Amino acid sequence: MHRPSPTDDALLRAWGEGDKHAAAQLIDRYFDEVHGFFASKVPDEAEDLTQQTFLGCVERRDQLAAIHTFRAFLFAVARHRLIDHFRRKGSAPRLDATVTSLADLGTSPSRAVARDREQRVVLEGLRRIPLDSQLILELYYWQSLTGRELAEVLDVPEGTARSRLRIAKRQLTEEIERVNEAADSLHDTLTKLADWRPATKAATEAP
Amino acid sequence: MSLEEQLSRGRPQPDPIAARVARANVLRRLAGVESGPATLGRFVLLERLGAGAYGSVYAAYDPKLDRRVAVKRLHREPEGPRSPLMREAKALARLSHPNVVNVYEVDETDGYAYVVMELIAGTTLAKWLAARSRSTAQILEVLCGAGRGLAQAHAQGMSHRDFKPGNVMVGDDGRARVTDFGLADRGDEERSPTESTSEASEAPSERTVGLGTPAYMAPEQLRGRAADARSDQFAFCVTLFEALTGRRPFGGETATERLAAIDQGPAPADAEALPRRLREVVLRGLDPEPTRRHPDLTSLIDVLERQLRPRSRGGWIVASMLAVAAGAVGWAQGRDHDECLARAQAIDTTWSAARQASIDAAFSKTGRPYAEHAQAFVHETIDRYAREWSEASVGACRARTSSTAPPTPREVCLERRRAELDALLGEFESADEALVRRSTSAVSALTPVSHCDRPDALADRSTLDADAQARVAELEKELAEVSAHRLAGRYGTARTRLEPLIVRLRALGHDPMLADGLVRLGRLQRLHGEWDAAESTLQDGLQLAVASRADAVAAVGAANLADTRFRRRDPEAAEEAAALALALHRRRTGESTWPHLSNVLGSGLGIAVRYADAVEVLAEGIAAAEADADGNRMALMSMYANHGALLLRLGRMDDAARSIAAAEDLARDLIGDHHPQFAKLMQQRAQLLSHDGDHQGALELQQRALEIWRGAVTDPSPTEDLMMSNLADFLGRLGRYDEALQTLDEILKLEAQMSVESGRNAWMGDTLTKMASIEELRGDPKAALRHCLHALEVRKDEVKAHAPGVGELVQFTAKIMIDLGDDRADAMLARGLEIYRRVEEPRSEGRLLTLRGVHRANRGDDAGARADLTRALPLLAETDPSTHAHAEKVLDELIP
Repeated sequence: MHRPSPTDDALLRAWGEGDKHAAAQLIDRYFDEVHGFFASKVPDEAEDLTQQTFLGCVERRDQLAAIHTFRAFLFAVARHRLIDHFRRKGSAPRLDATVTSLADLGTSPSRAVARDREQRVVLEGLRRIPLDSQLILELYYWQSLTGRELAEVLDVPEGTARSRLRIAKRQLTEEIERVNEAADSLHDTLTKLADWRPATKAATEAP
Repeated sequence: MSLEEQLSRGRPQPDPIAARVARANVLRRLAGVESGPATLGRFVLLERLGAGAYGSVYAAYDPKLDRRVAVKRLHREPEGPRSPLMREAKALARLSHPNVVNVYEVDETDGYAYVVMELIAGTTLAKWLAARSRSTAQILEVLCGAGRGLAQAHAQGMSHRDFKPGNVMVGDDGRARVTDFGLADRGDEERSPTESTSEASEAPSERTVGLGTPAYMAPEQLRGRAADARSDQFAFCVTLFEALTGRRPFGGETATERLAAIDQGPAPADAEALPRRLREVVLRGLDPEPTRRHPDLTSLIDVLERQLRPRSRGGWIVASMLAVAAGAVGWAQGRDHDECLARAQAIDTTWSAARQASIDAAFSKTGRPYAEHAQAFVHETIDRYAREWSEASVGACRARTSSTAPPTPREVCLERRRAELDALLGEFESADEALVRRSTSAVSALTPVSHCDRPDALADRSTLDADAQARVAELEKELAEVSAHRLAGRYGTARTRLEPLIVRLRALGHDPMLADGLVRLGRLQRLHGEWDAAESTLQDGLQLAVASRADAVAAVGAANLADTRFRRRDPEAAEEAAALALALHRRRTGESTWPHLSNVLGSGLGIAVRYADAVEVLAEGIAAAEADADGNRMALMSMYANHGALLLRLGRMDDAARSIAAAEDLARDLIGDHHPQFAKLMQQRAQLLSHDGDHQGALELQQRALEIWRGAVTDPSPTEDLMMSNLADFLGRLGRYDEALQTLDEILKLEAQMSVESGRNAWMGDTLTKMASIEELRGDPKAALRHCLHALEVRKDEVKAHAPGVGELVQFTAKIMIDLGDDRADAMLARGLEIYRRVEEPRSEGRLLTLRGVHRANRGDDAGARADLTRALPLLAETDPSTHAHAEKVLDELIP
């Protein structure tokens, strides 16, 4: 009854041999993850970069054998596409993903779609840390990549990937504190302002 | 809460509509899956226009009404048909105004709330402002439109609540339309005001500010009270302030700080950057107390529009002021004021209706394509000038202690301005083609009325006795006529008339006036190309002006001296004079930049082949001129054009394109696109096209420019030379070598008629160098070398002096000599290196060293080659990566 669905590897190979049906299946499987990855950083280019990422996977399918999982492979390609994109935009000549943050690159984050305060704080913090640190945290926590997969995406030994993850967490913690400090002072002010309101109202209602 | 928890909560939900459209597109393109176009309700989503605050904006097709629309997802969850959102939507749909984006419907379907609007081809005001610098008139035009749209909504009892540059669309037709009307969340709802906008994407400078600040919000909104029409007026004025000055009026990271900043008002330095005549109007709209702002937006816009379109015509400027005075009982203090107004009426005679008619007739009679534009420009400029003059005149008159006292320096200065204007308009009445062509520059170059706010010793006539006073009056009249001749470009006539006046000025015994006369004479000598005479006259005038405390005269003298020295190829002395000019200007006005001087210095440094310095100086001048709405916009255009030309020389094509576009914009406005000056800009544009590889387009544009130029200017000129020379370049790039050489031959004939003083040798040398490079392209290096040697002979003085201008020629000659195995190559290389070393041109020096290194390596001189290439590498590292790589490779092969 239940037919096991083909593996990612098999789909990719079939696509490489021209099987459009396999292509559709594979794209369907990972579209939201890849598109979401780009949409939160460069909403205007997300569609194009997503397409390029899938195409890049087919083109480089020979390299898949050396990589642990398809997801690691997919996000390694996606990361390269993103860095390439910023480079082409010329926003940072000789861009080094380990030190450049999205805030420097001037892209608009998905802050706009963020609903609640924590989300906004995290997103703002993420934007302020170096691009690679941001990607590491996203891939690890949002896309649930393993340490080994992370190492493959970044093309570094696993030990290095794990230490980068620690550094990224520390950077994010610091930035979140900074964002919170600014936001707290704003919050205090607003609370006080809210306290004034009835008084003001009373004053205007007095004869 | 742990970081892990925070992160997992922080995961963003992407805009599902965007994801849906993207998925369909990617599946279709990569896998051939035809799922049909993505839709939202009945709307077929076409292309993504951009990101709104809460989701994407799409161009969409409405099959029911067969029209294209814009669809935008709203932040809100669907609330049902009776929700406040839907009630408001109905009101919005009733709001129809040319300056408001039409809202067709607000609907809820598929689980989303969205608004369907008119689709506009254009961009947001924020992007429109960022794209390039805009003139005050352009900004006012757009913002007044947007303001009318806002006012219409106010009239129907609605307010916008989130007016800002991102919510104004500027159509490709130039019309402004306000969008996102009333869609902003109200301050009294669940969301706090600090969270209401997506400013991070619009204002990078604000990104450091915690979670973003509502930069355009009125204080009452910040305090959480409901917003009304007056809050919109506040936001409108913040926008206007920002558009005009490039800065937001209020800082402050938190709401408290922002409120305090609003209470204090904008920093005086920022407010100063507003055009003088708009300052008060804008600041009133920014009053923290709503009741002290303008009564409504309409009355604010009315004032702004009056600034935009001076509707006054000569004959009623002062008459209308008289009417005001008569009506305002208790304001006027009797006949003194009537007398001041009567004095100011002199301007109505100068710019009378009869005179305007005869100027119009003279301009039209020429029948030139640019005459109509010139006529309109002259009218507009003189209208404004006359109005400013009458206001200043009344002000100066009222400041007097008694009506019988002699005229104050300010009044003397103003009278001088009026006399100059009068003489120039007299010339216009009998204008020929040449004068019509010059008229826009002439009226732009009139000394501004505001110059008289700070008169110097020149206008102080208190030391003169009655007899001398009478002689001064006569002299002033004749000096004004000389000015008019100069403004009209008749330098020879002006100089001949001025010389005898200098003798009379000497006899008068008023040093500032004599200094002024000398500076004027020196300037005319310079314009006439008599450099030596000009330098000595200007020096005399400058010394006398400084000694007699005539600061304005001295500053103009020093600026002219700087220009003269640049043209005499003495850049060091020129820079000294420029520094002095700036110091004098600063002492009088307190301004640290003087656009006029920046232009002189920039073009001078350009002549001295110090392009990078020149570009920097001009950029400063441009910034200062852009900030001064009352400044001379012809001068601004000229600075942009010079800036663009220099950037072209530096190969900074993108920057060049921006400056050229700015110059073109100004030029269309100021002189029209049939004016020969515009042809010069077309020539720069052609160079850009050619750089992008479109040589055919460049050739055609250049041919049109040459036609316009020749249609307007019949005498041979350096400009025609340059235009033909570019034509030859483009022909060469297209491989049409014979035509290119033929054109260059024609140029040589043209140059033979030029005088040596006007730089003929440099021009001929350039033309010969071009002939050489075409011959080289054609594969005839021997012919190329002949032309090179001829060019070196023509420019031998410069070669001897190691002048920077001949660097390229020497380098090119060396290369051809190497190719031909000519043994004079070494000497030529050494000469080139010496030139570049002196002018510190690392890129050229590095390239030449590489050339010599390779040459030496080929001859087996490994040690010499290594030395050259090692020296070349650091010079090329930043400036020329491809030559750098080449040098590195050769060096690698050398080392065993």
